[in-house]
Amino acid sequence: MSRLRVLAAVLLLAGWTTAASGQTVRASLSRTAVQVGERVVLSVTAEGGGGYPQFTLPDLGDSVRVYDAGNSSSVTIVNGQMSSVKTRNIAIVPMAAGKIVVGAMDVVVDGKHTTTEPLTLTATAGAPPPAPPPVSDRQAGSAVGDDALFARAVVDNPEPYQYEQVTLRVQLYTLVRLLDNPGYTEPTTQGFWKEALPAAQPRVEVLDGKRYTVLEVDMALFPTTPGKLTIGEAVMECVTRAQSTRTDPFSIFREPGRQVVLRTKPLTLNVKPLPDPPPGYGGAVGEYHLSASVDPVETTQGEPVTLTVTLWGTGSLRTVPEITLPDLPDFRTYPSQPEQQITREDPIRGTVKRQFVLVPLTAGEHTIPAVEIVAFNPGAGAYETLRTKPLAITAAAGSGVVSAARGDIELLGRDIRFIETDVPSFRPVGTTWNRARMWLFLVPVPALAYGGLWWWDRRRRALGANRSLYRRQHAARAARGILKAARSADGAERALEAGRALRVYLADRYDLPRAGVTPESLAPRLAEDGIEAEPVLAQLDACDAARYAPGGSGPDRDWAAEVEGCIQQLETVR
Amino acid sequence: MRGRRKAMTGAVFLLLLVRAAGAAPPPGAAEGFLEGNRRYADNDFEGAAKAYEGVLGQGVTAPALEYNLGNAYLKSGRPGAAVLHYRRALKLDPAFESARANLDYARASAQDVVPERDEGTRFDWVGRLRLGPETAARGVFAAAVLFFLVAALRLFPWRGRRGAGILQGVLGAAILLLGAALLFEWTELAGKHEGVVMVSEVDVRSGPAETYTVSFKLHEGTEVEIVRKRSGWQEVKVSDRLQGWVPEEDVAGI
Repeated sequence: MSRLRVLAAVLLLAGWTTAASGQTVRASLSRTAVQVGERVVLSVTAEGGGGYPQFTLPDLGDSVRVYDAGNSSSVTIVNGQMSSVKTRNIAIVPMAAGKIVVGAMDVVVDGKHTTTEPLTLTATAGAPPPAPPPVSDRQAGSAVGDDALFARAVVDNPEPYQYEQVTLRVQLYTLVRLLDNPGYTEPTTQGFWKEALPAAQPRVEVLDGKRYTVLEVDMALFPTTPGKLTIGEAVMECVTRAQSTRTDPFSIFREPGRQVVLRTKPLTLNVKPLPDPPPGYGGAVGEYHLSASVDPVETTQGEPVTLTVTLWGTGSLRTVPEITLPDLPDFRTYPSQPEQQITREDPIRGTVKRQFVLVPLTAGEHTIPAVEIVAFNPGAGAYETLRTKPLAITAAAGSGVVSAARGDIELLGRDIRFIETDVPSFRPVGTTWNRARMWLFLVPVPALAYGGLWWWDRRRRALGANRSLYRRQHAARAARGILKAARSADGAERALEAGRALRVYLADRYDLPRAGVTPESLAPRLAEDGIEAEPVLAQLDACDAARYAPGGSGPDRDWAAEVEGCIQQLETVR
Repeated sequence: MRGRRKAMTGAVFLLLLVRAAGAAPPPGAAEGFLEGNRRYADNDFEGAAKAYEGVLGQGVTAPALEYNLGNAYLKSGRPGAAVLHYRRALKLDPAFESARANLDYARASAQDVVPERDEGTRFDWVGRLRLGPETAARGVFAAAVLFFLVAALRLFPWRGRRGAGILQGVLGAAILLLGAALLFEWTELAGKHEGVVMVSEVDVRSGPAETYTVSFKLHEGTEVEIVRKRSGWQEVKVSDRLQGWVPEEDVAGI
């Protein structure tokens, strides 16, 4: 984006007045000579009452930008005479050097026409467009946008140490009125810890004679690795008044807002590694202080006192190692969980407080030695050892019994959990879902089994309710039961049982009393089923004859088989 | 007689199906696992990883095997492979507490911080409640068997008893809950393809070729979502704003 440079300006109040029926219409330019990119206001004023002047802006050429600059009105009373002045303002920004002629305009006020005289504006080539605010030695940044609305991202320290705070400021400079709060998408910060900072109040900054409204979003970043790290682009989405056309300046009142998306350029930081650490360094980076206090300072053997160690200062507390005590052989020590408080202001600062319950094991004067923490101070570029003052307490002789004070379990180190030692149940790779699907396929099996059972139960109940149907359904089964007994019987007994089986079958089939099976009762029913009665009745007679004349029909005759055959034939016709 | 035979045939068929689900592991899998354990206990972490990989090479796996392999890789200084196998262990058994703890440990040592990532924090309790697809499906089957068994009993002597109706209602609710758990597993596992960066640093490009712009870099152990694959490259997504293409071999699928 090119920058527009601002040079000297000469204020022009060139104009003229045209009187028409008590009304005066006047057109004027705020300046007649400007530099390219500089803004000049064309005012069309109507004095003497009436509405706002209506006019059409003449064509000014392609090298001119035109914006609406609003309306204004005033009322004055002089010697009891009231007069009003109504003005329409148009902002004109020449984008190329040369003469710009604002031609004669037909101005209409309350239906009356007035023609203004032409106006001439001279634009001269100058410096690039206005620069973003100056960047101090410690700042690095870049701006994107034009002179009326631009965004930039700056950091306060382009070459920080690892874990040193860098404050990123994303700033929006605007000369134009925003119709809505700008949308903001924060930049990517791979390789940084980040902490949001409170929103800065909007402020006004004057740059090259222009009063910019500045909106700012701040973020504290802590680089976690040395080397080149990049902060991505931040995106700001603004809605401004839509730019008017050159031929119809009042079209702005009919157009919706214009959305402008501004992206800052990525910033690359050169993160310096920490120098070789001294012994005992635990990773703290920042400007810290350390203090300790004990309460009470006089106690009794076995009665606890509380030692409070407090670290505070600026920097990321995530780097601060856990506060621990040196060996205290005269005390039983019970540390508490550290308490941390972070103040998210620029720079980020905070406090870590850890309390230790100390139980003196012996009576007498005891000294709690200094607690030390080694920290790297990025401001000084060196490691420094933070040290508390030794503290003295007096323990009077007690019962000699040291009560065990309760305290949190201290975490002394961190490691992964151990491996599983029992041989697991192996399964084929990638079959988890196959096995799950198999179980799901089995789900219909119990449902189908239940369905079958339900059907069987229903049928059983239906048969129980209809006795004749039940007899008909079970006729063959009952007869076969008797035939089974017949096969094990001898001689006449066999024929007797076979005959009984056939008689039972026929009685059940036609729902007759078993004792009432006669040729007369059977013949019509068999005929009704389309069965020839003669062979059936003959089989019954033969069985009866064998019963009363054993051996008459042959001793080896298989009565059971004959009857079985007869029943099978009858069963084919139902 | 014939009905009894049919019932027996059905039962045998069911047993065979159930037996097929628990097919015997190949010989040597248990020995390989124990060999890995021995080497791990002797601080021979690379040897342990090799032994565990040997078991995996036989085509079998288990949550404990993936977990132990993750431990061996983490101790060998390969956090990417460790994260990969912890995630695989959790995929097999979402309620595997030790795998979750060690995964958190491995993640903490990863260089890339992905602030948008919510897994392991917001869904921690969900992870503890998860059953895994197979257990959920087994539960659905078991609840269905009990449900229809009680229904069958109600056809006969229990008919009309209120207790059986309540029991059936409870079993019906269990089927619905387990079915919902199964559906959740499906949405969590089947619809999502994730991977882990396996190399110390990889350029993420705007397209699937070396000619495209490097958008950002990822480091070993970073977990990504695999969006799609194309001719030796795969598109990965770290967050809504960080997405791009990496060589396929640099990111292993979970």
